[in-house]
Amino acid sequence: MINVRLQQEPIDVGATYQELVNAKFGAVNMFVGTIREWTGDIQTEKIRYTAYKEMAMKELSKLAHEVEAKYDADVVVIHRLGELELTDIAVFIGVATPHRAASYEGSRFIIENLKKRVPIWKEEVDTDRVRWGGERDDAH
Amino acid sequence: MTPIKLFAFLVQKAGFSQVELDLSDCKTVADVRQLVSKEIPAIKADVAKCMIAVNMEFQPDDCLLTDVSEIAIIPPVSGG
Repeated sequence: MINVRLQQEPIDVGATYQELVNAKFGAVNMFVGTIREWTGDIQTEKIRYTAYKEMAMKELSKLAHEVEAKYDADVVVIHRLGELELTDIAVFIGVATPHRAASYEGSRFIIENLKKRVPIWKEEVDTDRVRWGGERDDAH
Repeated sequence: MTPIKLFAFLVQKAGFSQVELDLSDCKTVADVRQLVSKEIPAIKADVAKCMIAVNMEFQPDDCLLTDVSEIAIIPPVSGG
């Protein structure tokens, strides 16, 4: 099972977890990426996310299918678009597998590749100015 | 004419999100990169750092162009 989506609405972690519940799996790994206030000396107020939606869906689906095929996993990937406030969930990655190691590896694979090749951009409203993602190295 | 799509800060700099360009003299992705730099000078410095997608697939500069329905200029992504 694969479910990939981009949405304006907040992500309901509890409801999304239910999508991953299956007796064949002994591990459900859920990564939740949220809006952080401080990055070094830079204070963030909010972040606006935009995407090349059609292509982003294609790229996210490729990543999800790769994890499904490699680990016999169920995968849910959700990314928010629009304006997000501090602590809001920007991304949810759920990977359910028979055993725990694969669920960690599959989740890590998706988030690291999402940050390299899925056409989604953040426009960060910081207290000093607005920064587009990619202006500085953000490996956090 | 082929649609060239821009995203994120490229839209702010160029003042538009899409333009149609004649790619008939472009044989490779590198040629498209050069043409976009020339035709949209506001983003010339950025285009060198962008990835280019042909028909929604990332392609390297030496990729030969065939059946191009659209080009996307993809600035460094920052989702997550």
